[in-house]
Amino acid sequence: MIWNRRTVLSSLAGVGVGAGIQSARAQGAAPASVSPGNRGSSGVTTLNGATLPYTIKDGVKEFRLVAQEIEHEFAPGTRVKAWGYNGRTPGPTIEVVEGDRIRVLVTNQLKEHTTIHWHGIFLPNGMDGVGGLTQPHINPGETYVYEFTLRQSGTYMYHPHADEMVQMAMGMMGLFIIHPRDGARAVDRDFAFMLHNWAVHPGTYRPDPAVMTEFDLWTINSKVFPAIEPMVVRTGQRVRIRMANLSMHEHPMHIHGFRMRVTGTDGGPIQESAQWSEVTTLIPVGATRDVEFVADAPGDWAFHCHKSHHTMNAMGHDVPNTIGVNQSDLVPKIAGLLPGYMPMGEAGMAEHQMHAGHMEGPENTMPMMTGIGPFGPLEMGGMFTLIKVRDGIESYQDPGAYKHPSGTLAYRLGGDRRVVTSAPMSPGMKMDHH
Amino acid sequence: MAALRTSVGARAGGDLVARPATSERAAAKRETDILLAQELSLDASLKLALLNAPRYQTLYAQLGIAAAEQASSTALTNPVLSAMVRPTSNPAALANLEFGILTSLVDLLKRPARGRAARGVFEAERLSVAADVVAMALTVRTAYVDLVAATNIRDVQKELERAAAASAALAERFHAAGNIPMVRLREEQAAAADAALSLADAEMEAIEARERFALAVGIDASLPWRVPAALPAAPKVPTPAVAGGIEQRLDVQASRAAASAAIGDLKLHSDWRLWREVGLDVSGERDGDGQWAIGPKLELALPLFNQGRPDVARAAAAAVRADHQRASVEQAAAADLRLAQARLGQAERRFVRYRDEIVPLHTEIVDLKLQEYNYMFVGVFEVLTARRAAAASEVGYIGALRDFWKARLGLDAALGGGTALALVNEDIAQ
Repeated sequence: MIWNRRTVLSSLAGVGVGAGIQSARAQGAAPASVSPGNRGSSGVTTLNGATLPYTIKDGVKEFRLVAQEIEHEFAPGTRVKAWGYNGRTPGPTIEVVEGDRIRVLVTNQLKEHTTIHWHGIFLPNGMDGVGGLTQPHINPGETYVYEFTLRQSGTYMYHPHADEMVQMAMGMMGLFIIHPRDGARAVDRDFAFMLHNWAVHPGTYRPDPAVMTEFDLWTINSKVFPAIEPMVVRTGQRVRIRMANLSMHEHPMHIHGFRMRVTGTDGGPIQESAQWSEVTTLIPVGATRDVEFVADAPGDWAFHCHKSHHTMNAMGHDVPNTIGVNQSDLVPKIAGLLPGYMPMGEAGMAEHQMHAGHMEGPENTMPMMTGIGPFGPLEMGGMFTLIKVRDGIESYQDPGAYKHPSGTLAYRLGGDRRVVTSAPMSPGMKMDHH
Repeated sequence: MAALRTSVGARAGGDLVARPATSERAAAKRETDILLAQELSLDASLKLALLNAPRYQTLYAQLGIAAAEQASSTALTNPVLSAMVRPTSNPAALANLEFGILTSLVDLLKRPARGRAARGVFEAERLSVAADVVAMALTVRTAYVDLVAATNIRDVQKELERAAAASAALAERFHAAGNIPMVRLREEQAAAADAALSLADAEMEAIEARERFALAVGIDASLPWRVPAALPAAPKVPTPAVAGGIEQRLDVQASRAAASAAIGDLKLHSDWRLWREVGLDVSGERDGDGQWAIGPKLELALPLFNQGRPDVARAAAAAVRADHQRASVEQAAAADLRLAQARLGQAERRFVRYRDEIVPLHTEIVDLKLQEYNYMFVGVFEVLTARRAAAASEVGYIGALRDFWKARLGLDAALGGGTALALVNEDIAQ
């Protein structure tokens, strides 16, 4: 059977199931049908990602996952040979409903064996996917079948449990979202992403799985800013963000402009009396967190990991500190030996983004600070994206830069208080997302 | 004599010019000045040496002596005229007169054989002188290659020193700003001091090379003549063919000529062993009555006691010795040639590896390091260290290029010096 989105949609139409409608649509698609987990929307939006389609056979939702090597782009300028599922990393989000019986056919196209572990999900021990412990490994070319009934709801994950360090470092992971059977806890916008770290050394084209701590790229759904899609929300909507962490580090995810209620963990939904609010939520390693808030303030609100080096792209860690070092009179001497040499960093590293646009860097490597905003360089990379809240929007396409109402913008003392929403910028990576 | 000059000059890659006359000296001075006004090539250096080096003039004089000796050895012994007057006691009688002309018949009869032997001796001497000239040409060329390389290395060492000094100066700034510890600063300063010392050594080596070259060529090192900044990166002419082997080598030819001469000498002694002295005399005598009696006289040394055997034995031993010497020279020459070929092959591989791999790799490494610096993956010190490694590879390259050219010259010399193809002197054609 040729298995693609079109066949899935037609089969869905035939079956007419109301639950768990896939949402492989692009983010900009108009809000359509209702799913139990979403009020006025249709399931989870996986940033830069997709939901895995399924077919129904004998009342069982049947999914197919193919483990394979893929070509992956973190952002324009950095491509690698990664490993993933169904042509992407993270693999497509499995989105189901509590009580569903599912069957997942896992085909291994890698050159080494693999398995899939269904992280956090209650299932028979023999379906747990731990290679060597609960099942034989899935050898290259083999297809294994996992089948179980979902007895919980919440935000979970899937990932290999065979040569795990390598396979996860290469990008093998995915989200496993179970909506509650009763349609409870519905929200208007339901975003989901996975946090990860990558050792993609400057000038290389393949993640280095031997790295344990010093990573180069920090990603949201395997993308770095500014290639991460923004979360576009209409003012007043209730928003859920599901975050899962398969990296080697925990991530304090920080929201601007709102406070988040932590409504769920990988232990499932937290009852309301036990929920708490905060503006920074720590996502431990191997854990998931659901947060919710009402987007009652329009604007372009930053959302990012608060470890500042996680909002940077690759940089050296053993570079002599240049702050406060005046080299101006030595430059001719050094440039005579190193044509093109430019001293940097006497005042700080901000000028780095300005220079990065026109100075040659290592191949397949992005500048450590990127992104151009309406007022200048954002000097961000890695785990950084935006929540774009707009009044009365009908489409979730990127609405562009926020136009600040008069009197609501910080201004330079003694300067012009006119609102400026765009500024001529030096060359550099714009906030496009791909 | 002209043929001799051309023969020797061609092998040396230049014309051997005698300049005893004042006018010729003035001409040589003019030519020297013209050559010194331009950047000196390998070719011009050799011309300069031929014009100026006292040692060449010495060799030339030596050839004159050899030629004179050849002429003298083939000349016949002058006949001896004897005259005698014997007055008598008889007043009426005339005085008794007697005269005679005595010449050595042996000398006359041996002349062709003697001439052959003398030519052999001269040929040996000529070849020996030519070999000296070729050896000196090699000295001049080698000194030239050494000089250009030493000058070039000095220039690169200057770059190295500048890179190290820049690194140390930067380190001072980083330290003053409180950003690197004292130990890092001291490391950079120590590296800079080392680089300064290396530069001083390279400068001294360049000075010494200049003096050595000037001495070989016979010019004043303090004059403002100059050589190119670098040796040619690739040979303009193919490696000399070694098909002729040792045949063209002057030492081989000289030893063969000497062996041949020794055999000639042996034959001479052997043929005339018994007839050591044969005198032919024509004499006349006037008696007192005025009558003349004229007649020939033969004088023959009878080989009763000395039959010339010791002389023949000596000549035979000398011939055997000369032949062994020839064999020994040929053996050594063949070994020398094989070694020269091997050296050139190795030197070429080494130089090509530097030229095509090591230096380009280091150049690219510096570029890549600078790219990494641009994106803050490495610091400036790391880039400068790469730059120093690149300069060090250039020093290695220049040394390898120098050794390559010296090996080329070495092979040329091992082949007899006649194939100094890169240095062919247009004077030879004249």
